[in-house]
Amino acid sequence: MGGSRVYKIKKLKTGGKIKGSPGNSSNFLNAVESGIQNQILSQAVGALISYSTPLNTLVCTLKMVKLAYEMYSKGKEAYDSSGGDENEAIKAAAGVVIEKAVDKLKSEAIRIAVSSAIGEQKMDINDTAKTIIVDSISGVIEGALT
Amino acid sequence: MKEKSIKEFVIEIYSLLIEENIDSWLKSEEAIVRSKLNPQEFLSLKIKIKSLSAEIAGEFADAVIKEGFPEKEISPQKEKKILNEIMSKYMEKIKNESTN
Repeated sequence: MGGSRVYKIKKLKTGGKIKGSPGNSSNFLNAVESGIQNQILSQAVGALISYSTPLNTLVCTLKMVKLAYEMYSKGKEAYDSSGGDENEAIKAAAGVVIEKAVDKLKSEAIRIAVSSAIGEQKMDINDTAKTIIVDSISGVIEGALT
Repeated sequence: MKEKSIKEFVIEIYSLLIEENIDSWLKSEEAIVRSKLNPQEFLSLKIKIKSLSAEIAGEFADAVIKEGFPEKEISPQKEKKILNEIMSKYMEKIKNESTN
């Protein structure tokens, strides 16, 4: 059979016979419908491969999965050791991230404070120089505190 | 509380994300997709998407665990390569099914 699938559907809808039709027209329609779904599906997967979907959440997700599993593991540990306390499980699970967030916040807090202090000095320096100074000073402070 | 393996985590999360991404692509192509499928066919397509997402996620999980995940870190480039290889394989498979 020649021609595109779209052409074949049009022919069936307007009546008439397609030469070389494989037989029962409803089976043929089912096959064509399934073919269209597969075409759409393969285009969708193609879009995913090129990461061109509007959502695009498949980049670097494995790290998040690992974190999710850590949270679950801590939560389950707390659940089992507390005799089935869901609140303890949730606290323990959230604590995995909060500890990491507190660590991140600590260094950010120092950076923000140093940056603000430099701002108050009203030093006539460009942004790159400012970043270098903030990084250096923050690094020294953090090193002394931890 | 149910015991879950890291593999199950990978499959569940990736399955959801793949499905979400395909759904979001479908929304962006809604006019064309709706013109080719009636509501029943569209529903049937959604079911196929769910099943396909789970299959891709399952193979991806096997592949990354074989690479040593979670003990070994998988770089974002490697992650993308593995996922793309699996999705390309499925894309070819679906294309072949639609032309047979």
